[in-house]
Amino acid sequence: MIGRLGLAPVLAAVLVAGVPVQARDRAFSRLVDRLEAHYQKAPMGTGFLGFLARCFSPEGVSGLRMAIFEDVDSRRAPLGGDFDAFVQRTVGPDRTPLVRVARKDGERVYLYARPQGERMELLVVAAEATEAVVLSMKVDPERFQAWMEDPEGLARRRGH
Amino acid sequence: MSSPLSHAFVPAALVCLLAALPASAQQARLKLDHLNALAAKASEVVEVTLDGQALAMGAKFLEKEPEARALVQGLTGIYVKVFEFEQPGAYTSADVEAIRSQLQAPGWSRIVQVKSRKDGDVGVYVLSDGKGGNAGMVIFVAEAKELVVVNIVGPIDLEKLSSLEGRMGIPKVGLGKGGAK
Repeated sequence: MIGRLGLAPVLAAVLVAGVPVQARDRAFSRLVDRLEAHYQKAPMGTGFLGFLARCFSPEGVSGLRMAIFEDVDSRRAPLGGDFDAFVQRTVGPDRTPLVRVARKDGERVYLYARPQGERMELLVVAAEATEAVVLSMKVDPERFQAWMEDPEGLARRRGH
Repeated sequence: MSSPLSHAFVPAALVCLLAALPASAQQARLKLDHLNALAAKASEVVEVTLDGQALAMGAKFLEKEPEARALVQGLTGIYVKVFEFEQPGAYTSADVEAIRSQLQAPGWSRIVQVKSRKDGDVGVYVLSDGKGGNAGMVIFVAEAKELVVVNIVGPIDLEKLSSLEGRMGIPKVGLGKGGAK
């Protein structure tokens, strides 16, 4: 009985802590899952890389998530225009890429953005013959611009 | 109460509402879907689609450049398509004509035209809003191995437009005081 009572707040805390996760861009997870299924290869572990990226990410950037697929066979995934359709279907029909770059050698880059309050949620997909990267982050335009103008000064003020 | 008549009324009302919009707002956005077929021939395709919220977000990045920000805030869309080809002749005169014919509609006027062997065919077109201002703009570049269409929808201060060159997918084409190069 005590065990059950003690478990309740823990469960509640886990549920509350899970809220931001639920609010995250699900398109990122969907893309990573489906690319993993196509390539039949898991993305590189980005634990330490993710930690570094969070520590040294530009001012105004938060919620950085990254999945890197290395040494993949791009022929396992849809090719050419089919890859465009695959990405669009996975991200969702309500979002249009702000920027789409397609090269004849198969390289593809997509940038999706949507507002999240005062911040902008960015989703970047880049794929080429043997690699693919999916990146998701939130950017505060004002803080990011300040960082762009004076990255060294901001780093000094933050004590880096 | 729901009847087939009421179902038919909704789209009809929408059509009427669209028809009531200023002609310029409808004309300023070019139909460029026919160019999608060129993607298979192109060595590189770049498409930029900035409208609605995306444009509002883009304006936030121009916080410290009030001139450029004011220009962007008045716009409803920026659409860019760039096709690069390895060989000349990848696009046809019909592809180009499909764009030019839209720019011959009432209200559009060409303010800059450059034709040269080196730079190909460069045209800058502006759509009048009928009140002394403008409601949109197109920059069209047709070179032997490159086709570029920049479609800006919304009122544009041409004097300030050069502040957007090199930003938001708009290429640098020399829109400063000297006009297009």
